[in-house]
Order: sequence, then C-alpha cells, then structure tokens
Amino acid sequence: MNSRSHLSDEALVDLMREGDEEAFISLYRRRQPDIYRYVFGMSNSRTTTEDVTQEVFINLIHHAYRFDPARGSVRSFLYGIARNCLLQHFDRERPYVPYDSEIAENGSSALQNVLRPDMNNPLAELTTAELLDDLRQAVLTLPLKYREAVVLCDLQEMDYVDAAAVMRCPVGTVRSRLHRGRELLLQKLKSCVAAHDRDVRKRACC
Amino acid sequence: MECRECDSIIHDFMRAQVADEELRTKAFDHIMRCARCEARFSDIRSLETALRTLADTMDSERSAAQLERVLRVVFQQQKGARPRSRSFSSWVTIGMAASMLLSIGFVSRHRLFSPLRKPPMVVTPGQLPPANASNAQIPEPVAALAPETRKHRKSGPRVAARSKDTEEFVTAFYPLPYAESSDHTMNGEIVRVKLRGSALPGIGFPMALNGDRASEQITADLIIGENGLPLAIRFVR
Repeated sequence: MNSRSHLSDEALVDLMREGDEEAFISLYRRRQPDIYRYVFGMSNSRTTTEDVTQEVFINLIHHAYRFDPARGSVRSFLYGIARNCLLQHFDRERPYVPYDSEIAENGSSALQNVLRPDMNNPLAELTTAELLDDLRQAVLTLPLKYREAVVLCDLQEMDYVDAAAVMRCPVGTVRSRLHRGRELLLQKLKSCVAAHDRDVRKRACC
Repeated sequence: MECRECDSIIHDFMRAQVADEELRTKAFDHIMRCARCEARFSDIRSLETALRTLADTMDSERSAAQLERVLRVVFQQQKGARPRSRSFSSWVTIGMAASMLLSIGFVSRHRLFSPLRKPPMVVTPGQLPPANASNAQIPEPVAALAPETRKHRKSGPRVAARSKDTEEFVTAFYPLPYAESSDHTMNGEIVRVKLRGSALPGIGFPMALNGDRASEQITADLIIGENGLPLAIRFVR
C-alpha cells in the first residue's frame, strides 16, 4: 500500500500522465485483478492472460492521454483496451476451440432427457469441482459475443451499463446477449449432466 | 403473467435494477403456479450459483509478480522519453533566443560598419575573382572587425557601402559552409536573390529570425559556385 492508494482512478491517471510512477503502480495493483480475470474468463489460458494483461497496462502507459473522464470510467477504459487486445489476440492466434459435437448432434434429446418431469434440478450439483470445470469449458465454447456478455455480467458482476460501454453496444443488446449466452450454457451443462449420469449408470451396471 | 413474459425477465430476476419489485412479484406468482417456468427458474438459479462459484475460484487469479517489475521499467522508459521532448523544446526556445540576439547584433554591426576602415567589397557579376583566387578574398565577417568599427563609430558613416549605381548598402561577403567543401576557391557567379529570413539557416548562414522578421524579405547577393552551391552571401539594403 502506498500513499496514492486512497486516490480515485481518475486522479491516479492524472498523476501518471505527469510521470508519477507510484500512481501508475497503484492503479495497476487496483485494476490488474479485474483485467486478469476478465481476460482469463474469456481465454482460459494463463499465457494469453499474462500477455494481454501486460499489453493493456503498457497501452495505458503509452496512451494515458486518450482517457477522457467524460466518456467513461478508468475501469471501462481499461476493459476497452483489454477487449481490443483480446480480440486482436484471438484474430492472431485463432485458438483451437473444441467443438462440442455431443451438444450439436444430441443436444435436443439430451435436453429432453434432462428435463424429464421426474428429475429434480439437474444443475443443482453444478458447484462440484468437476462440473465447475465443465462450466468453464462451456463458457469458453460460447460464441464470442455471448461469452463476453457472460464473462462481464456474470463472472465480473458488471452492470449492464458498464458492460455496454465495454462491449460498445446498447444496453438492450448486452441484456439479450447475456440471456442467449446463459441459455446456451444451460443447454451445454444439461448435456454434460446427462453424460455424467450415463457414465454413473454405466459404472453401476459394470 | 404469461410464460413468455416470465421468460423475458427470468434472467434478470436477481438484478433489482432491471426488474422492478412489482414485476418480480408477478413473475414469482407465475413461477409458483407454472411447472415449466419453475423448472427454468430453478435451472437459472443453479446456473447463477455455479457462475458465482466459478467467479470466486477466479478471485485468486493474479498476474505474475514480475509483470509489475516489467511495467515499472516500461514506465520509467516512457518517463525518460518525456524530459527529452521537453529538453528539445527548450533547446528550440534557446535557439530562437540566440538567433534573435544574433540578428540584433547583426543589425547593430551593420549600422556601425565604417567604410573608412573597411571598404566594402562590392562585387558585381563582372568583377568576380579568378578561379585560383584564395579564400582570403572573402571578406572577414563583420563581427571580426568590431574594435575598429567601434573606434570610428562617431566619426564614420553608419553604412557599410554605397553602390554607385543603385544607392544600396551592402555588407561584406560571408562564407557559407559550402565554401569549405569546395576546395577553397570562390569561383562562380553572383546572383541577387530575395529570400525570407527564415531561409537563411537553409543555406548554412547561422541565423534564424523569429516572428515577423522570419517572414521578412531579405535582399542578398549569393556567390554561386560551379557546383551550384552558394559559397558566400552578402546582404543588401
């Protein structure tokens, strides 16, 4: 903790523009975890996350003058840089995203099985480590625009207005993308639950 | 409330700022009566819980410690670049001030120039020295004649020279940097030119005028060497 830590983000940016290194470090320590988690939630890769986080703050060092308080908060500004860096990174790397063939082929039947009336809430056990891993993978396989809405609004707990500023789209679009993203997640997870149940039944038979 | 209406807010149920209390009460009543919506609501609540748990597991995710050190170095480099630019601008200011002083000095010298002590070298295009003339034929710069000039300040006229034909005042020729690289000969033609004060540094004359003076037209004679480069300059009034 240094003497700058009580200052607002905007004040820290002003100071760092004047060459105050400690102001920059304070801002970095305050905002780095958010940016890191956002990028990690979007990429699920520590290497990518490290690279992009570094890129975001180097960008801030070089282009702090671009920050305009009238256009949004420092937090949104940093998320905006992170988003741009991330999209560029995805364009460059075009990472391999596993195609969830089971959902594509058997999604509806799996869903019907899972939604059978006698079945108690199939997602109730989602908090177990195994299903959390499934959830992480499911988020990762969402189309980018839906993934972004889920990561920002659900994982980062950002409100719609801030998320809209980061995603550069209207609030209504954020809301609809989030709903669509969640529906897709539910489908993916229900099929995971169904597959998990089948495995358990198979093991019981053997 | 219909299922369709309930569907439209079911994801925002927990977001107080999106769904108002009355709407939520209605939706909740519907969920209590509709098995389909109840199941959906239950699923979504589970999903929200799972997402929150996932977010909590990511709370411990941090950048590596060395990233901060890297960023400190980048910041210091950037900070180091800033004073350089300030230094450059201050050098420009100093340069401009120096050139102003130079021009003031030049004008005052020009006024003090005594024709009795230093006859003007009025070179007309036809009187150019031969090809093997030495560099000594180029008059000394006025600044070098200061003591003598000061001595005759009161008695002598203040003009440098007066051309018989045109009633113009001319200074001595000042060698330009190009003269040094043209084997010390002053073979060439004299060309009368009008140029802006700001163009003087461009031909190697160490003077830059500021403001209005910079855009002021100056009449000068240039000795243009065989290679087309200006070898010396004199000023004409």
